[in-house]
Amino acid sequence: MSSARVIDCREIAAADRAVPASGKWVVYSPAGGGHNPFALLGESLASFWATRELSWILFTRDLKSQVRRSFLGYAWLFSGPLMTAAMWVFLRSQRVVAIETEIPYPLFVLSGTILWSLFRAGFDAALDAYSSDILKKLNVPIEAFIARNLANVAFQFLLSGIPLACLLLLYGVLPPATIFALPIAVAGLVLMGAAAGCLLAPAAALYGDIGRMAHIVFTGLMYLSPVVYPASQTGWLAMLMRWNPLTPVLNLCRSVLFGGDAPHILPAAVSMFLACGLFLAGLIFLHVARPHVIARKGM
Amino acid sequence: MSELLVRCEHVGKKFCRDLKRSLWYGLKDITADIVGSPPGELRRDEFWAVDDVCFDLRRGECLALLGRNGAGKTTLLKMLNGLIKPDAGRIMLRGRVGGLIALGAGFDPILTGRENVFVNGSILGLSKKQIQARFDEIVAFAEIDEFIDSPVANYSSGMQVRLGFAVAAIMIRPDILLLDEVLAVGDLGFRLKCLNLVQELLEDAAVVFVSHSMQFVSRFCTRVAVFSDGRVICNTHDLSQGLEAYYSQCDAQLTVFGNTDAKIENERLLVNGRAVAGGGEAVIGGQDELSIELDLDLAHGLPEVELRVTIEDFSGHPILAIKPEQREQLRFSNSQRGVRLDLGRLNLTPGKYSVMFAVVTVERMQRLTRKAGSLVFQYGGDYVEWASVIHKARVPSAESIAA
Repeated sequence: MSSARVIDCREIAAADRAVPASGKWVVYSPAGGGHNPFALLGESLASFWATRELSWILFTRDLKSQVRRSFLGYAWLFSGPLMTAAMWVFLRSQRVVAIETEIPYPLFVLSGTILWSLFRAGFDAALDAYSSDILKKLNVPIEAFIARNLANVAFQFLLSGIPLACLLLLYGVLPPATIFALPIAVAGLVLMGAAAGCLLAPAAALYGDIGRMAHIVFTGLMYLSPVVYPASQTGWLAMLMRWNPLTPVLNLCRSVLFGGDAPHILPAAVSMFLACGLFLAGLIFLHVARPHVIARKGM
Repeated sequence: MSELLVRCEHVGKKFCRDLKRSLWYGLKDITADIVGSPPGELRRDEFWAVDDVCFDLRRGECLALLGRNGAGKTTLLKMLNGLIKPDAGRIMLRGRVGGLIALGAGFDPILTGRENVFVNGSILGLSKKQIQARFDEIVAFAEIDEFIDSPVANYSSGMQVRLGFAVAAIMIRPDILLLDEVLAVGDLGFRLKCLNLVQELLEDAAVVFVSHSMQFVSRFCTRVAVFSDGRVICNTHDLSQGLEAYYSQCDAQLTVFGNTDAKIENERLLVNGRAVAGGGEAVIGGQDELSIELDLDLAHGLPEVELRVTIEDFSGHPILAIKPEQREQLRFSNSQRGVRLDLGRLNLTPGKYSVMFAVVTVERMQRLTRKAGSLVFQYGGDYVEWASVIHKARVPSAESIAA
């Protein structure tokens, strides 16, 4: 007597066609990731909250592991901008370049390179969202990794305060009260980077070209932004800088840090607002693209 | 019937053979997904890695996905896990999905075992509190008490896997459990503990289980789905039928080791006294009388040798050692034609078997030749047992014992 019972899918389908009613069903189907963007966005934002513990654990894990295997530890986080700034101070002192600034040049250039590195870190934070192997094997919310990366940026921001504070003391510059607005201004800057990163992340995960291209574009972009020299007033460069959405945000950061001219809040606010919207759109995009990226990258 | 937890309806997934094109399709698919247009027909270089797969799974059931590498099992598992989306059909799941997949995900070699338990646990979706509550249990299970505060880089690979397994298996209590070839890890003692723990997990979940180990399949599974080129060619509650379908996809490997001093030639299988027609695979049952014939070719001047015959299962595990009534009957000093062994009826669990021959010298037990994977035959039957050999017992009635 064979107890064989071959289940034919048609038989099952005929047995009960209707979706079983009780309980909450998760359905995976090919149709429309982008059909209900606002629901996706809600889910995404909820995941940020739900995975806060995981993001924190991942963040501290990376930090501990980085520090334990290096002598200088955290110092590496701000040594890059410090070096670039030092190079420019040296070049200027040798009169290779002539740059006039309202505040002492070393302060100007160091604040510039630090802000720029934070902007880039924000970009990378989102661009690398798919890079973790864990995402390819386990169904972990991608938000945990974005939050982890952004926490890294925040940490970098705090650490960068050290060399900057030293330099401020050296020049006897007392930051104005507006310095308390600095985190908000910097958050806006980081968000601009993250928004761009989110929108490029799926393509970057599939094609290595995007990451390389971004590297080159950013190097160029740095010279079109008031990073190592202030916005020029005349010529092509002035026009490019004026239309560069980073310019008002960088200027805003500097002015809340050092005082000086009343900043043009409006253009900066528009830039940051747009970045915010793009970042949220980017989150939806990351969600929709994720299964496709994993399917193509495999393993 | 217990509640329905998984339903797959005509699920399909496309893959592309060409990498460049695959990436390009990926980019297109993302765009299409955002615009909302559904995936269409196969494009150039594409094929269905999973094709029209349907099944239902209820709590307490364990479905084994069998099939050769690349048949689409893991792809299906990934879809069930929500990592990738189906290109056709739909998958419906209810309850928490968990798996023993990617053990030790997120382990950082620099960190200590203790720290890594928390990292790994929170990746599996657990809170710090939950992990804290069962931390001692995890360490005790993994048997690494004194090493828990050393960096994982200093662990042996077995210890790392043990820790990863312990975290996942102790902490997760899913409704839908996905298992991918990681049932039993570590050394023998640990494997036994693993299996018991997994058995506990299975009790209360709907399980999808990918394995190439028939031992585990027959031990745990209540159903079998056999994949071939992305399609389910057999989906059955009858394990023996499922295993047969799986075995029929694999060819036995005939291997011969040894020197040419001793050779085994012209081995044939006789079923009820008749040779198997056409040299194909014999299919035998419990009622068939089995015999083996062979020629033994020995070089001159060899010391006395003994012929050993073993029936192996399809994975090469020895199942039955065939012994003559008297030892001397299978000892030879000269070449011999038409050596015949009458095995009679075999009582095996259904499956695919082969015969292994070996020739060893009597005095020094030196192996002259070994021929494995020969005389492949199918044993058909009604039911699959966990054990390979079936031994029938008389069960006397209570009255007869009393008498």
